[in-house]
Amino acid sequence: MTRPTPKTVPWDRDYWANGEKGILSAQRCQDCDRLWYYPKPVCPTCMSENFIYEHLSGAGEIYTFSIVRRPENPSFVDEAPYAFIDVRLDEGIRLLSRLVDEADAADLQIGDRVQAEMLPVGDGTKFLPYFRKVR
Amino acid sequence: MTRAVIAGAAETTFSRKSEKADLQFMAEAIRLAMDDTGIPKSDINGIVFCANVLPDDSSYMAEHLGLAVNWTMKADYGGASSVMSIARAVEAIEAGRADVVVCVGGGNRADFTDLHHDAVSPPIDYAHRSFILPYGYGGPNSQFGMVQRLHMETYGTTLEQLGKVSVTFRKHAALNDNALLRDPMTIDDYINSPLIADPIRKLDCVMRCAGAIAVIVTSEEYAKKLAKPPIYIGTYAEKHSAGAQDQEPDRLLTGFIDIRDQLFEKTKREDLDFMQLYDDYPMAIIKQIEDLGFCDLGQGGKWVEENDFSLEGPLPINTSGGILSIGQPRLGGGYIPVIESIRQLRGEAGPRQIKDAKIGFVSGIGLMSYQTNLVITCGMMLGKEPFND
Ligand SMILES: [Zn+2]
Repeated sequence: MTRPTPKTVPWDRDYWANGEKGILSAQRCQDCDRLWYYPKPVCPTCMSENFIYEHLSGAGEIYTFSIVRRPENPSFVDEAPYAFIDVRLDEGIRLLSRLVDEADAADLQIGDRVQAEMLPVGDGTKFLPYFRKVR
Repeated sequence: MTRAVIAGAAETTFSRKSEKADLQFMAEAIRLAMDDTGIPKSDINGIVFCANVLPDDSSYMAEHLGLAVNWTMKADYGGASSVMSIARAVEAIEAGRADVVVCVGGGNRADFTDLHHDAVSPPIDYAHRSFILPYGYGGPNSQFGMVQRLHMETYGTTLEQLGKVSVTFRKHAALNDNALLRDPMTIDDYINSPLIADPIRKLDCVMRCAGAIAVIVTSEEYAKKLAKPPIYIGTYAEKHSAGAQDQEPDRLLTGFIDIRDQLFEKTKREDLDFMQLYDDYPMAIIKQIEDLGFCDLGQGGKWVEENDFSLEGPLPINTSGGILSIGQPRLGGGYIPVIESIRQLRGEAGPRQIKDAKIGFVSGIGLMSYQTNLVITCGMMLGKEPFND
């Protein structure tokens, strides 16, 4: 089984384009100012399609996490166990991710400060945020 | 107005290994439910299949089973599909669209894809496909692990409290011949079971199995002609995507909070003789106890520790062993709470019969959210006597 590659849909084109440049971004509604992640076809507050992809700081903290010991996709088995993290960015949105360096998982705690880094996933053509612990 | 009732239900034998395909299991469960109720196939004019978007359209599935019906649909609500299918059948019957509706779910194990009658890759929602699976996902265990860690850290919920849920249900399962996990289990067994998605352990995880369950819903008038008395349906409520509109939804809150006042408005918590709650993880039970309002938020672990919810206690929970001890036959797993309620209310529960059981509550939960908790929550009152409107 190969590693899945995200598939572009009409509303997330700019997200993937930013990712290629190493930029983590999220949609901000130009009508009601709402910020959200993951990309959605409309603003989840007012349903407007009038949004832009705003660049994010990538700084945040661990909200919660689990340790994956049995990946569903066999192509990840050689990396297990690894931390699967829920990060709260300083901008006030949350996203699911993994650590850049699994050594950071050893003493990982809820509340730990982390910083995003865009890394290739799947066939290498798309980029998603991974996080490093800020020590 | 026509009042819809449950005429009866039946399940196939559950197993870890089988060569049969999904539709064979569903057909067997339907035949057994026809035997339970004495309803002939020719009277069935509605059917709900608990199934994902794929593998087949509901009308084609009805055709494969030789059922020419007036009404059909698919309930694609994850683990909540089963209880929700009954609610949909009630609506169809009360609207006059159908008279006898079979609700069915189950199949071969999700991981045996060759035995799904139309082997295609499962449908995956947008967030999973692009923003979860590329990281290497550990399945729902990963998200329940996140919920459990946060609950333990925030409220001090302990492994002993979580273990008591599994141990209690396992005791009930010892009295159920169709439960796959019947060996006695201790809290130490729970705590020492291998980690799967820390802090989720092996004995936290529901076990996939093969099998199916069918429930037949009909009008009270039709049910009066049957040998067995009907089961009455009381208050029902459901919530989807709770928190989806919030910027920072809490991973520890479920949609039950939004519907609990409605659920317990007519039938009070103290009126219940039992509860059959969807239990894919002990943590799911603790969350339901809290969010259904049996204690304050965060106190579910303490509630479990301080209350006896076994068959000997004042409010027994999951009297047949729950899905945790019986096994999870695909989307039919959600009928396990329903079929046990029917048996308890009919007085057919044998060695695990609750004395004089009149009213029970069943819940359904389904799908894990990207940033909240459960995507789907629902609950339904079932009774031996009609509920007052
Ligand atoms: Zn907006």
